[in-house]
Amino acid sequence: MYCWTGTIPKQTFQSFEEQYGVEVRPTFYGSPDEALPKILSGAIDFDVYECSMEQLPIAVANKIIQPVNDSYLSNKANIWGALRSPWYDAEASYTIPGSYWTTGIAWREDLLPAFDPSSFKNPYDAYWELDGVAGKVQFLDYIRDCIGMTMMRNGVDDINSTNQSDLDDAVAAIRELVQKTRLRLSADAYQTLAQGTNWIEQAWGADVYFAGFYLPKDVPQTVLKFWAPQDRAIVTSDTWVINRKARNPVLAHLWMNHLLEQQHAEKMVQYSGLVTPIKGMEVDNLIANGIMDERLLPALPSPHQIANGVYHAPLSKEGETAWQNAWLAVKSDA
Amino acid sequence: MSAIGSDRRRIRLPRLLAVFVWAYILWNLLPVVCAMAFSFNATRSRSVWQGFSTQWWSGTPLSLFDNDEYASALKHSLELAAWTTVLATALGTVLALAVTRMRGVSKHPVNFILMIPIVTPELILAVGLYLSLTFITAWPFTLVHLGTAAQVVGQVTYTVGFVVVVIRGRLGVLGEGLEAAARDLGAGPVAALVFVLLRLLMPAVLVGAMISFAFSIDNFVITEYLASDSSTVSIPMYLYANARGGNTTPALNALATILVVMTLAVVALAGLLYRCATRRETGSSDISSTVALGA
Amino acid sequence: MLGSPGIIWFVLWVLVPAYTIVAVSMGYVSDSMLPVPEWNPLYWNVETLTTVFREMRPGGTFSRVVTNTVIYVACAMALCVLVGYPVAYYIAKQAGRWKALLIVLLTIPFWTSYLMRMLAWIGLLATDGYVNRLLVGVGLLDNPYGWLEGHGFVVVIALAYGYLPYFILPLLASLDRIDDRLIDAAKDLGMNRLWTFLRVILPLSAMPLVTASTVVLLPMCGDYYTTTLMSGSPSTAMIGNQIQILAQGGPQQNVGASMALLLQITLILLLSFYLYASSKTNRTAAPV
Repeated sequence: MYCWTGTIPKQTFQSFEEQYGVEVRPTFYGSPDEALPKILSGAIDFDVYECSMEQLPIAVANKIIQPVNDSYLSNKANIWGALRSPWYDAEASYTIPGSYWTTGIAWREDLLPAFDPSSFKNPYDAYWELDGVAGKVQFLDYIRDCIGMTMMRNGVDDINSTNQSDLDDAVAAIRELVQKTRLRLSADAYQTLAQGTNWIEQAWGADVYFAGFYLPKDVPQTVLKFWAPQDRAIVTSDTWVINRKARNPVLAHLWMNHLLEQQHAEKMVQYSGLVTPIKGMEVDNLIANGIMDERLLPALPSPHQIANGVYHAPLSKEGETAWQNAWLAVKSDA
Repeated sequence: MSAIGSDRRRIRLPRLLAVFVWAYILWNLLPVVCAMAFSFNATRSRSVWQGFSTQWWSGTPLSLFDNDEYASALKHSLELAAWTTVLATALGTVLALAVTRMRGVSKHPVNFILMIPIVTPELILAVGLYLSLTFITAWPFTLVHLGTAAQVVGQVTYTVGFVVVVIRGRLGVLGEGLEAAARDLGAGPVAALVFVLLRLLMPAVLVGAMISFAFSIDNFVITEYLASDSSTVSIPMYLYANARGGNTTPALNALATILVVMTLAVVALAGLLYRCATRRETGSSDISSTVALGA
Repeated sequence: MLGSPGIIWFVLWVLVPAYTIVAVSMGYVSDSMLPVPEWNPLYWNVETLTTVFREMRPGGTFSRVVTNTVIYVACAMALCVLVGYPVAYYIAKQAGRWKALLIVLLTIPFWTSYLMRMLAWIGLLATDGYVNRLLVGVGLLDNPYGWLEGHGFVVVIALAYGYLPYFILPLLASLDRIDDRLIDAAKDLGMNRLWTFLRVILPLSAMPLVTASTVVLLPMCGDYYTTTLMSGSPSTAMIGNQIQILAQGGPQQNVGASMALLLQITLILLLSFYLYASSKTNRTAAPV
């Protein structure tokens, strides 16, 4: 089993082991970009893989994964209706949905008391417009999040645009921000926000949940704020897929089925702040049932956000190359 | 009068130099000592001292000895170091003996290959190994998977050249006469090699093993490139990933402290053993072989 | 026979990987974004390599990282010489009874993990760290300075600090070998200290200095972690950082391989120059 570090709690593995009398050997990767080449090269021997959505066509094209067999997936009925045949995988023939999260603006209300995203026509503009935040701004060190959000700030509708001019504008905008605020690129948004190193960041909703654990004790949790729009929010998700050469294909299906049970999904959201899109996991429910704290309402993706969000889509080889070149320009400030 | 004046000048410059040298040494050692001290800090901070405590070493869930991530990194580093030390020392010793005995034209290309890993930036070695292990679909490349196996291969490759340099240095000191003398005394070629030469080589082999251990445990670039997943994270990789983390605790300093203490202990131990083994000879010390490394 | 396991090892894990870099650089990338190495030299395509080379020149995508790398490495090496040479010279020639102790103290950082030594400075240079406290305390600074917020000079100092131990030890070893009698002879001939230093010691130190500089030049050129740790800002990225992004995956691993190849070729050229120079010195200085 090959999955993202920090997404799945220990109990989920344990309960699976107890229920089916097997031993689960999870292998964790640090980021999807790091995992893909290892999957493609066959360096990792796995049964199931937590596959990022934009990697899916690559995995299919390279014959890495096999279609799922619905007869083992009794819990498929739990999945929210709209996602039973998602746009990235018609009829869900290769995947079951993993977890969903939104990317948005995270900030510390105590350090930026006057900030209100809704006061901006385009809230993503806030990073560029706010004054007095030099050295306190950070974007995610992930190519799609960083450049994609900057495109939305620039008024580009499609966060998967491969237009050279859109990419150039995004690079120019990020460079401007580097000049203005000494922007940092990093993946530790939850830590830096909690410590107050950064006041305003691009972050995942889950980061705001994690930050709560790292906050100094004398600072109330409510200062950790998050904003993502109701419509056209940047939503990311991963999916579960089965290796074409899986040694235990049946167990792989059973594992997927296991994840689609509400009790395990609840444990998962408490562990990682990520939402599995199945019945009972609607945000309002989670908060009403006391599973998650009320302050996290904006940070957890609602069914509405998931249905109306914008997603990172797979790119062609040329598109991928154009993006990487833009990323190289961002990362070398050139 | 003038003699006294020049005398005074003569004293001043070296003294200034001495101050400079001691300042350099302090500049080098003090930060590391501070970082080690911060592992005993009473709070989360790794930059402001707020009292003494051992909470980051053990006893709390985030402490060094009670956290799975730290334990796993420590275990993995030691595992890699054990493999690398054994393999690199054995391979290096045999290679050094072979190269010294080589005659004629084959000597130059072999010397050349041995030098490549020493004069190549680690990053390039790492990229080359990574690409060949991911894209060559022939035996034995398919045998070595990214992860522990690949990391050991990479570290050994990086280290062997240095082991060879040290052992060849020692062979040079001993001279060819010894092997011939042993043969004259009636030992066959194999017995001569094993009994006489290896016994005399022991100190250099020891230094070679120490170098392999230290290089392996401190290695970062190759180890990082050839890792597969979070179970193959070594201590230096862990330090790199977390050094700038906003809320990393002094437990990270504790982990780094262990790394430093382990390396220095092994180096010191090897130095002592070397000194015992070569006490009857003159003119060699562990330091000179350490120094020989760079040259 | 004795050498065969070692030689096979080196062929497998040094020569083949080196050739793989060339093959990936000269190959292409498939539509499913996997590099297809070109093993046959007859079909090599140098287009990627020449494109990367073009982009490295002023105005190109990679020019910034190339400039950064050259400037940082040059400055750090200059610092190594300025700091390392006096230290090595003093310990080799003037330390007297302190010599053994000083050598031991020099070897400690040599054997201390590079990352630990960087980690140590990260604590000290933090905004609330002791460097800022000291400087504000004595009045040199009014406010704490953000040392780690993306400054090139911090990267240079960190590189020099990191690699100095590897510079000093080989230098010390060669300076130690300079025959004291030469220095005494110069004095007997009536040269004063400065003159002795300039006419005798300095010329004899030239080659050791070049050797020691080579020892640190090679790893510095492939360094990507020092600037990431001590700055983290895109404006201080080095070649190593770009190779790091390109080589590990994504649609342009051939570009990454080409960058690595160009870096290696440059270093081989520098190294050949060094070997040429050193063989020349050896020949002329043979009687010594």
